[in-house]
Amino acid sequence: MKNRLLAAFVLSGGVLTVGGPVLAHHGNAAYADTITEFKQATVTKVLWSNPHALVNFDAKNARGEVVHMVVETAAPQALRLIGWSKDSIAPGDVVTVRMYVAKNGNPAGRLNKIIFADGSELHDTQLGGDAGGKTRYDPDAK
Amino acid sequence: MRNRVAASVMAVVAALACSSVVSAQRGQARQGGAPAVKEGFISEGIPKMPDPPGPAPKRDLSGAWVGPATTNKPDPVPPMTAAGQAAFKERKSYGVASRLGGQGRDQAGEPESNDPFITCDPLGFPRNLLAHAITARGGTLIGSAPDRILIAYEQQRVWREIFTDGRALPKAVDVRGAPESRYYGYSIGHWENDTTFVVETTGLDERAWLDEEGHPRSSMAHITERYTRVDQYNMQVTVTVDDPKFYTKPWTFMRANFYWMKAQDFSESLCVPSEAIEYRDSLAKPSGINIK
Repeated sequence: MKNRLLAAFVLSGGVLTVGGPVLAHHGNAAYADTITEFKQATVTKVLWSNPHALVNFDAKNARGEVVHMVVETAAPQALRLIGWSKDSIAPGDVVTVRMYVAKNGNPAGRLNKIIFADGSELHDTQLGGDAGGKTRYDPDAK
Repeated sequence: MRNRVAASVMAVVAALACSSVVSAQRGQARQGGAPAVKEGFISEGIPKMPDPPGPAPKRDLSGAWVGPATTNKPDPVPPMTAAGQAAFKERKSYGVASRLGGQGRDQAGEPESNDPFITCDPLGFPRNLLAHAITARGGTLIGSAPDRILIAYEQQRVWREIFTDGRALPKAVDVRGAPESRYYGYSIGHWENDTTFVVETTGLDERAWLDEEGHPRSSMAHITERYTRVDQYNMQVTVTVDDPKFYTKPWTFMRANFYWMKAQDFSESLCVPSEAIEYRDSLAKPSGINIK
């Protein structure tokens, strides 16, 4: 059932772009190395937690059925350094989610980025980006 | 099913071009206007820094430091002994299962892991150095107390005591008359010169992994850290591992430059077992990752 739900979503509302296998940290064995994009995703729950922060969201597939997804990103400490905070994203936010979905078809995966309606973004750490110039003395960060 | 999905995916890919998007920091955007910044600060709590930095103070590493995100330059792990290979074979890394070509998969070929940190067991030393400095970007606070240097780590809120009173390291652990092994071992240190502090550690608890890949280290591995304060705001850190029980030769485990943290403030960053269980049950297991 989960496989059908996710597949239906991918075939309709989801948009895929080619992403390189950038998953250098957790979960690269379990997740696809292409990016799935979920538009009009409604955030239902955010866990600002270790070992990885989790964002839960709902999105509808072509049949109007709600697919409940959960996506992991890095640890809060790593996210803080690239501009996230505990309230960067909250339940009720409607966003676009780009992620690497689980190979087994279940509604889970690893984040690539979240795009808000105003165009602002929250990146996963694996996209790089380091607020070192803000947080530390780092000549290389100039 | 998967083939149909893949074919559809490729059709969509062919029809779409990636759009450029504006990058912004959501957290900052939500704050509702820039706060007043005091003179001498670039933003609240973040002071301006002299550039270039001043000279290194003598025999002083005190302060909060943060390691690089990606510029750790270790030597390759040397060949393991038979005992090391046997220990490593039991480790199922969560992070790099596919990169290891079979390591970290169960009999059905699905990813699996017995990484102790997934359920918040202690990282132990020196894996915590990689996790704090490289993987999770936690801060490292160096201070002092009588007869010792203290190194506190932002992530997990753990600390190490580096004794400078001339005591010897234990020659054995976990045998009658000897001390117990520890996740963070026993450490002594000395100043090699005015800018380099050398730390030696033994007596490690073998349950902790050496790194995220699950390499083992024995209880009497001899680990040497060298902290060289290059100038006011840069500190080079080199860590070597000498563990003849498990490895055929010593090697440099970490070679990185740490930076002075402008804010000098730590957050609370803990692996909380109940959160780890939720992560396991709501994310890892549905993704097909079998956590032991």
